[in-house]
Amino acid sequence: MKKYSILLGLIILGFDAKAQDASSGSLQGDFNLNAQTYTEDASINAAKVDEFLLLNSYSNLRYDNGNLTVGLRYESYLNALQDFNSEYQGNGIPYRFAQYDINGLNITVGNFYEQFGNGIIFRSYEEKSLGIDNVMDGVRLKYNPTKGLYIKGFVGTQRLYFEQGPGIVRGIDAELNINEAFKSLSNSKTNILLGSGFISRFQEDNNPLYNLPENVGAYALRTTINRGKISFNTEYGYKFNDPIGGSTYNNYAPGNALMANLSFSQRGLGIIVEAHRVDNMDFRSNRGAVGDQLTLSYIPAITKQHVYTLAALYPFSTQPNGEFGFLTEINYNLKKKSLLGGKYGTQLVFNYSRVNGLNGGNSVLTTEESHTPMFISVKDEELYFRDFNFEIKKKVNKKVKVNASYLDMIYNIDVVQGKSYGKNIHSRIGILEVNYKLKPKHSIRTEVQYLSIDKAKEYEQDAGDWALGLIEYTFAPHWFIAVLDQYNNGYTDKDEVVHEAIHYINLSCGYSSGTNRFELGYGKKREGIFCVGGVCKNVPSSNGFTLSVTSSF
Amino acid sequence: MIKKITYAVTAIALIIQFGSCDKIEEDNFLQTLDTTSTSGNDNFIKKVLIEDFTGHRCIACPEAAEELHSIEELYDGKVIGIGVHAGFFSEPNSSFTYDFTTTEGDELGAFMGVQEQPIGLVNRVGGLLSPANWLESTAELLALEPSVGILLSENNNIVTVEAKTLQTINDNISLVVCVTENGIISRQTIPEGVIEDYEHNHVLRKHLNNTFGDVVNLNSSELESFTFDLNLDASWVRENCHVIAYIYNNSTLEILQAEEIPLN
Repeated sequence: MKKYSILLGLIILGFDAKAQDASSGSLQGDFNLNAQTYTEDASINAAKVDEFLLLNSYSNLRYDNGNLTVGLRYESYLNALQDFNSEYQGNGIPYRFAQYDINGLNITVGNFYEQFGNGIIFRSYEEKSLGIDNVMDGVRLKYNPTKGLYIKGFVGTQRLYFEQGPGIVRGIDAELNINEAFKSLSNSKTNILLGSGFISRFQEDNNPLYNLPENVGAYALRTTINRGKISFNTEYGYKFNDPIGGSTYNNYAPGNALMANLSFSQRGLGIIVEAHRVDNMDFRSNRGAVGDQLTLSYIPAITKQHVYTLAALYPFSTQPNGEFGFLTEINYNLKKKSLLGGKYGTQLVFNYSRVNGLNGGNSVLTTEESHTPMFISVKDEELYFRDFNFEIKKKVNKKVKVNASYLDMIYNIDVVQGKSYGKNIHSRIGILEVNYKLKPKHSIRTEVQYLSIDKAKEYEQDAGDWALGLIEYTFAPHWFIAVLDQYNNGYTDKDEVVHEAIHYINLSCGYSSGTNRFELGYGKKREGIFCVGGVCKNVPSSNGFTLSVTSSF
Repeated sequence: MIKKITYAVTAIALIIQFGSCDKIEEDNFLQTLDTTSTSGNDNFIKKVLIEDFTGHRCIACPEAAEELHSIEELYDGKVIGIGVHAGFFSEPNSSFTYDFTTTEGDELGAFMGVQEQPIGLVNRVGGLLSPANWLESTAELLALEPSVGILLSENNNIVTVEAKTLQTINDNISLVVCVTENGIISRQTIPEGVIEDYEHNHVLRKHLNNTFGDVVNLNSSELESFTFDLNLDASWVRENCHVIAYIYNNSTLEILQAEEIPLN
């Protein structure tokens, strides 16, 4: 508590300074509240909760004064919303820091988020909507000794809900901007960045049966090269032996990941080609951690992240234990006033991605088994995910804008969600979004989506077909009101439980004024079972009101 | 200048790298496990209770059951397991009709905040732990001197628990007595599908007192005695059942000592 008092003291001092000299500092903050009521609804098997109302809330405060920055975040889970882990309970200040800049040296004490390169060996980040926050707590230094050279290093532990994980994490990263470092290259058309990072986790070995490494290291090398319309980024990461402990299975194989991204961009045309190979690269600050807890490594997704509800119904998540994937995306703009482009032009997006397992699975080195998969193998490998999608965005006239998409996806639900269906899900999804401007400040947005499950025997039908309709009326700049209906046609699940056809209707309305935003909703949420990293969790269905308030200053 | 700095950074990185990375050679993965040393005295040795929160629809739970079994074998007679079928994945449905759940298990699971599975408690120290952490916790706890001694017996369906303190305990302590059953053949999901004849062991059947037990007053000079009616359900196979008694600290929740006997 003492440490919080010191920080609060610093902030108060800051206010005082502000009072004396208006230009000497600035205070920024934001606030976010999400609350939901839970009532019984037999039609979707939703239960009430004892508390009736659950609430997640947080507020950030940040004070800058010259070279000094201090900040904190207060979080409240009273009690946590059902989608969140119940370990998030009560109130606390799990994030506080002080940062100081002097002569090219930046010092942070307390909490900090950090990432080396693409995050292959280290990414500390937060994603509040998913309940992820693995912020570091410790000391970080960043130093810019000379033009073009950036060095950073830290030592810390990682957040686990309202506690800290047991591992001590040390990291150092250096990045060299060749064009900044060498005067002769400062005007070069080719820009080159070189980088390298190293991470080490210390955790005591108390395993009585296995010798576990107490210091587990991982390094990564990376480069980014830009020239004109072309950009290339690649990174290779390697993790030394990192068995998880316990008595039954300890894999001492090292891990590695290689990713490469090539993009071409010019007016009216963009092309991205990307590939990555990941093998045994799950790295955490507690060797026995599961699910989304205490992750150090972060492998960026190689598949397109869809935003429309039904397109995101079967979302792929990177399998850090092993996968090979590639993606191609082409953006093309049909010119204005051309035959196909029409008066306002038309944007076309093609996207294809495919991910499969490694040959014979990920690398394994145990007392009984040794296996190293082939470097690249696609044919005959277990398919994890395949997505072909096509999108047209068109402004028809001054009042009407249309987005139309078609997606064809194959989803390995056993690998991604830890199910045991034995078959993939093949879905075809059509989406049409129309924005219609009724008059100045008044507009209507509609979405129609349909997801059709392939009924062929070789595919799993899961929950069958879905349809979705949305109407949203916006009266700018303050109000909006929306009605959404997600309809399922009914199905019989793997356990032969019959699910009747059902409408998941959600009503919402919002009001914003300045930086304040209020949103009130009422509706039903589907049940969902999620298995990530060897653990499974059921998020129960729910029926109730939701309230969201956000603000900033 | 830039060269010097680059060399310095590289040198620092290499020093850190080699100093901060342990490579275990292949012939050195395993170490000799000493399971013979015990903490305690001739009458009472330290034992550890592992509560495995499991479910017949939990795909990854059989691996946890295997880990529990492995730890029990490693520390023969010093580790006691309870399979608590609690939470969503243990609920029966039209396909998984057998009901493994108990009121006590449900209450315990809710109290401990079980959401993700498999998950477990090792003497209820350090909160919910993933199965990979059970062995390390067990080893650490077995090395502690027991603070309570328990003697357990059963005669004519009367269970007798005798207990005394072996160290000074300032907090309230509670005694829980429960029954588990091994060898129940029923369905279980696994990553490859469903096993129809999976053998469920350590299944919590009931508590002989309530979910959180009864507060007991013990002393260090003599054994206090407590008796309980057994009353087994007719559908349970007596020969496969065990009675387990454990005493925990009401403030810290730590299970101070546990004892188990088979019913023959």
